[in-house]
Amino acid sequence: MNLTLPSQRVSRVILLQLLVLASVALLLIVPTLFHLFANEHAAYDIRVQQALRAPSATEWFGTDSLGRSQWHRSLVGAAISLRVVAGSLAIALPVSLILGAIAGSYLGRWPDHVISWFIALLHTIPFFLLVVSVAALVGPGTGILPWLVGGVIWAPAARLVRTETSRILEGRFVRTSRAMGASPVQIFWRCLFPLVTPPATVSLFYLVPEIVGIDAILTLFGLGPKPPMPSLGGLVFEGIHRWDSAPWLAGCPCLILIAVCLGVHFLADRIAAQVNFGTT
Amino acid sequence: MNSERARKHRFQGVIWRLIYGSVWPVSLLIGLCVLTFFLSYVAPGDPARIILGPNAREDAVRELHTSMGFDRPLIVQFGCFMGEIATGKWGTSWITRQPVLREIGDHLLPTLYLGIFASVYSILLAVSLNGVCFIFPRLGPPLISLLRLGISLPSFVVAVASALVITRLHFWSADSAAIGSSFFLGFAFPAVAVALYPACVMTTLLRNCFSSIMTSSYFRAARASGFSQAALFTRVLLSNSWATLFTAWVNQVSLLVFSTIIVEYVFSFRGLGTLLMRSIQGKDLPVLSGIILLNGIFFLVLRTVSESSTRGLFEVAERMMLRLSTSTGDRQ
Repeated sequence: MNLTLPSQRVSRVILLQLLVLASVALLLIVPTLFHLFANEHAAYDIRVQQALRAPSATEWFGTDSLGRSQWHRSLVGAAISLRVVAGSLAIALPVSLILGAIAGSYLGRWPDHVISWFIALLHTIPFFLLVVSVAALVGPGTGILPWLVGGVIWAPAARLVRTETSRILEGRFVRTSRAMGASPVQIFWRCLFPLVTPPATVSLFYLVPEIVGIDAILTLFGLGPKPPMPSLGGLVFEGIHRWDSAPWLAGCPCLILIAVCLGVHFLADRIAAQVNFGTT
Repeated sequence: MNSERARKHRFQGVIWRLIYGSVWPVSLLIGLCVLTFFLSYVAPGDPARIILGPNAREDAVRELHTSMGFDRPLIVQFGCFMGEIATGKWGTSWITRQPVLREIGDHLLPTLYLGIFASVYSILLAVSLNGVCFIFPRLGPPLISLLRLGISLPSFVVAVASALVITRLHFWSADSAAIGSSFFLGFAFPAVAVALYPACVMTTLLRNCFSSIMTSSYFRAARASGFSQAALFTRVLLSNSWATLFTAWVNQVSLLVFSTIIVEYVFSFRGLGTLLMRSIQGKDLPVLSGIILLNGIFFLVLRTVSESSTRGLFEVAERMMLRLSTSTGDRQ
């Protein structure tokens, strides 16, 4: 039984799926890459006689007030921050897909009302405030952060999936599949899932700078990684205190942060361009 | 007879819409209160121990625990919590022993002023940049690239970078935000740092809206009937984009709050961000709950107003488009 999309769109959708998979895999691999390139010894080793050295050929990002290599600290910090980002997305994506698909499938009925109510409740409080508050109760550390962030950022993506689901379920190919006796699970996996995953991924990718911001503000409130473990946001806020005498302390980690965010945005833009082509 | 029945049906429809429209925000408000209460309730550790400190005697901790009602059943505690919200007390700070609402009130003004200035700036920037792009179309592509770069960056990086630039400027100093006649105006320059990121997002959204209007037949009709550039911008583009601009602003308010906290930190303002930081570091859960609740109520009211008024704005826009098409038809 053929339950798939119309044949002329199949190759486009498969390409789109591969692009999404590659992007998600890349986002999961990047923290490990950062960690591989970082020298943890240089990141944590205190050398007071080499404190506050400006960027040079040997120390690309200079050194901090304790003589630690800012380049290696930035790489370790990026790995830690991006692990939080990747973990949050890995939690938020399936949650948004499942809840959004349920709400969209039962549009106007009680499952839709319940899920939409929770989405609206999450939208009443700024995400960062909710995460900061729960993190304040749980205590500092990075272990719980992906769960906290992933537990709140699924809402906008789920709202998008809900709308897309209700639109796709009206499609002729879905009605044909249903008439041919496909079960709701089969329709979800073979008709709905390939079409709603890319927009949900794009919507979550666009939230990456916000997740990095949440990670940074947690560090500002003393709820991020425990010292001496660095995070990108923590390095930026530490650097602000010495902005006049050592601007590289805040500026150099910012460069890595900007590069990562621009990269993720570029990926999201490429997928979005394909989504518009593949689903219209 | 039929008109009377239709009027009756319309009246019933309005009543039902009002009831349904008020049930949804009220249910969200109750959900918000439950969420806030549970955030305080599930906190690890004894609140009495947090208040008295780690060196307090066990019997003193137990006495305070009982006197503050922490030994009562959960539902009774929730009832007391709701009662305090209804009476406008919102609990008592564990650090200063002041009512939470007064604590929040003492720290609200700087945040409010920053928010007001930043909102005005972001709306003005979005409108004026789009106006410049409309009059000088060649500026559009480089400006859009710059805006996309701004949107791709984390908002805290934009806020920190612009705040650091503003601190270098000589016409602003920390004293200008001190108490006095310039208290309000002292926030005018720091608010630029708060406004930049939302302004980038709002400008892009407004430009998208303008692009769709510029491909419409009524825009082409207005241009063909001899409207000047200024008239086209104000009477056709802007008047049909208020709803989009307003919705974009509402969606950016949470980012404004986020950036405000960063700017308060950089400029050492004694605002809600400082209070939030103090309540987190001192485990002052009533104040933390109060800040969440205040934000929740604010956003709930804002979104409810925005949803109802956006519908109204769309209706007004439709009427204006109709009037415009009639007037261009008359000219032709």
